[in-house]
Amino acid sequence: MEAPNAFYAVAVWRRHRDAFLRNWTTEAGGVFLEPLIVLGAFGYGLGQFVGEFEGDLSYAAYITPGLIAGYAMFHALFEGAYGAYLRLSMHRVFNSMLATPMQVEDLVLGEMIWGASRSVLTAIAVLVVAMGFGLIESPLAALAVPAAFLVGLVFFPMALSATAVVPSINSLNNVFTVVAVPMYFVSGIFFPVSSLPDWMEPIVWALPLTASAHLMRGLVLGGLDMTHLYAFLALVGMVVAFGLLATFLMRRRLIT
Amino acid sequence: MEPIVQVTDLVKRYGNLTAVGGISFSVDPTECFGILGPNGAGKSSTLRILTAISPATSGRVVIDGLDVARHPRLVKARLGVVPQEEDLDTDLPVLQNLLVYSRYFRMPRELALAKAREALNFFELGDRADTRVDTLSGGMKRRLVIARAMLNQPRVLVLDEPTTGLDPLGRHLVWERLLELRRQGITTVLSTHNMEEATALCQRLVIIDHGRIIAEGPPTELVRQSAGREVVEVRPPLGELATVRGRLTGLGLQVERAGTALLAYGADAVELERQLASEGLQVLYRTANLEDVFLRLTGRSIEEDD
Repeated sequence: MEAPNAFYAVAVWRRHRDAFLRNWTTEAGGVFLEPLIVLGAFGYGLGQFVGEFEGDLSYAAYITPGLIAGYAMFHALFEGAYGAYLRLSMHRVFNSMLATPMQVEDLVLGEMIWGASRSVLTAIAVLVVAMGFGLIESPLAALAVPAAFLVGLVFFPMALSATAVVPSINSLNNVFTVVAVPMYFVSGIFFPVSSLPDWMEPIVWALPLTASAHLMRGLVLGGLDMTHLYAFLALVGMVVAFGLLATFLMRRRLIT
Repeated sequence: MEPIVQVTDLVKRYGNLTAVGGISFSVDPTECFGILGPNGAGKSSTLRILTAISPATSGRVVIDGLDVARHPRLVKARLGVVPQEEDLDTDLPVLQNLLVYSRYFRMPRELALAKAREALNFFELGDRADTRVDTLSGGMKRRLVIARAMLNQPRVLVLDEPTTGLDPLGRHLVWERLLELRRQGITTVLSTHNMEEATALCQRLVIIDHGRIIAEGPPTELVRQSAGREVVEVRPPLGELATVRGRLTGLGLQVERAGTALLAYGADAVELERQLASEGLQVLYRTANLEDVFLRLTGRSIEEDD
């Protein structure tokens, strides 16, 4: 492996942006509609039974930061799984790029930046919807946007690693059914991790989405302390680890 | 004159399979050089190593003075690559395909736009700039891939089977453009299993089989050396194949079999044709070509899968 070159990574990002800008209208509606439904159903539907949460917090306000983390995760995973798989196998976009001065390392970094950009877009959508419900009080909540970028950088290379090794596109469903969805429901988004059985707590704290949701909650609802710094550092470590893994596996897949 | 491409003892193995078994050749500036061989002979593997996309198992490739293994980025910046499988960007229209690609070569936008328009006109795609790529015909797509490869004004244009899968018209349009590039002095390395293509385009070529070079030279010379000028092609009834073959060999001719035909080399073709035709055999006499060279050297037809 060699060090990635930022210029080529940005060139990859610009290619994806150009392709996205030609088609974005087809998915824009869903990006806003989904958080609207989830906040409505969970926040206000289920929230009626939950009552007030941790002091005077409404249930909808409680789950908002976790939802931002969750959506940042899902959009990065979709892009790294199906999006990257199509570019790799169906459209041979990666092959065409590697015939230029670009190397696999640049390609993976550029893909990661693009996947994290998708996380940013969805984070903005959830924030806008939450603001519409009057759930955002502090301007500090805007920090959820760069935090979503970090969350995207964690999850995108996980999915890209899977893309590099799966025999067919169908196998990528496992990224969601086995990994993402179960994690979504236990990572402290819908209820505190402390309400899990004791033996599960350390396992759940080790999940990347738990750290993501915890950091997001500190930024959106306030009350930052050292635990949020630890979560941030853990996420940075995971970006490096998963980024290296994805690069290694993509090299193996593309350079034969 | 220093060769612009220098390949030395190149070997490529995939596990136990040896795709390229130690080949060496060099290409001079402005030359159109061909690698001719059947499917699976190691052509694509060779070109992928040459273009710094795939690492060699052993051996060395130097392009424009640069070792490919050590300076992949610099080498790729100087090459134009046309892969065997079309890899245009279906998310982007024709002109934008070229503009996005030009960024990978750090071309300033103004220059990229000028070069892209020039390339589209040269490849007769000037009126297709805003067309979606997936609506183009196979021949147009291939010309667009070549146009894309010419954007960065490469020192060497490398094409892997540039007309495979095209209909005859599409193929001739690609040949015509490649011949024009050759006239302009663009150094070209191409692989093909099409004899006609190799003869039409290449000034010099190597024939490879099972990862090894079995002949090298200008096409016409190769034909003269291995097959002579003329060939008599006899198609006897299947039952008489062996008998007719024996007779031809008895006349002191070299005979190869290709499918249902017997090919006789080294004959006074006109005389032999008359004689065999008078016996009621189906006979054709024609000038020898590269197909005959491959047949003489390997005993197999190049289109045959072995």
